[in-house]
Amino acid sequence: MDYHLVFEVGERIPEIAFGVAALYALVVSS
Amino acid sequence: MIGLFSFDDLPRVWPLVLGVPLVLGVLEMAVDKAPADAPFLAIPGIVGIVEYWRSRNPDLADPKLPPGGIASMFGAFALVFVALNGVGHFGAVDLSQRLQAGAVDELEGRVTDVYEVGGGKNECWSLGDRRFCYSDWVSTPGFNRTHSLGGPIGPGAQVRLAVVGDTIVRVEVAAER
Repeated sequence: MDYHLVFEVGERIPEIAFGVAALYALVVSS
Repeated sequence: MIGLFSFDDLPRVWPLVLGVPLVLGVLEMAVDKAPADAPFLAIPGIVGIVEYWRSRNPDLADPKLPPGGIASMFGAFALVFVALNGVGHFGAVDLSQRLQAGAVDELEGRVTDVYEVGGGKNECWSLGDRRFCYSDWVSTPGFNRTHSLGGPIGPGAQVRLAVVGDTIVRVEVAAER
């Protein structure tokens, strides 16, 4: 049977960087 | 720190306070392929447009509110939202390493016993003797895209999964014939 990939956990890793950037901005601004 | 030590300066830089989370939020949404997050970013976006419009028309300014005050407040909330959403995926690093190392359970079969609460709130289904539940509204490194918000797993779908405990780390769906 042919499968196609729709999700892999590694694709979430860049989101951590955006979250950390937002956290940093929050600490700096608050 | 600006807000703690010089609060009056914060509303003056409202385009920055509002713009940073909007840009980061759109990037998160693009990576996560999560259009359901758009309303959460649309609200501060609209607030930014209104604030800009008010700044261009001094007659519309509310004397009780400092210019940029509302936009700064929404910007701060948006920052919290984007930060929690991103940092909540921290476990993805370890899970990705386990997936690469092959330290996962592989399951294959047809999805049965689908239970869904609309709007992405909750979705559960069974694959063989295993049952999986997740929600779009919980920040998790594992798979959590519900069918009602465009997720790929519906009743009867033939799937191949890689799981660590109850967390789904890879989803493959059989091509429709």
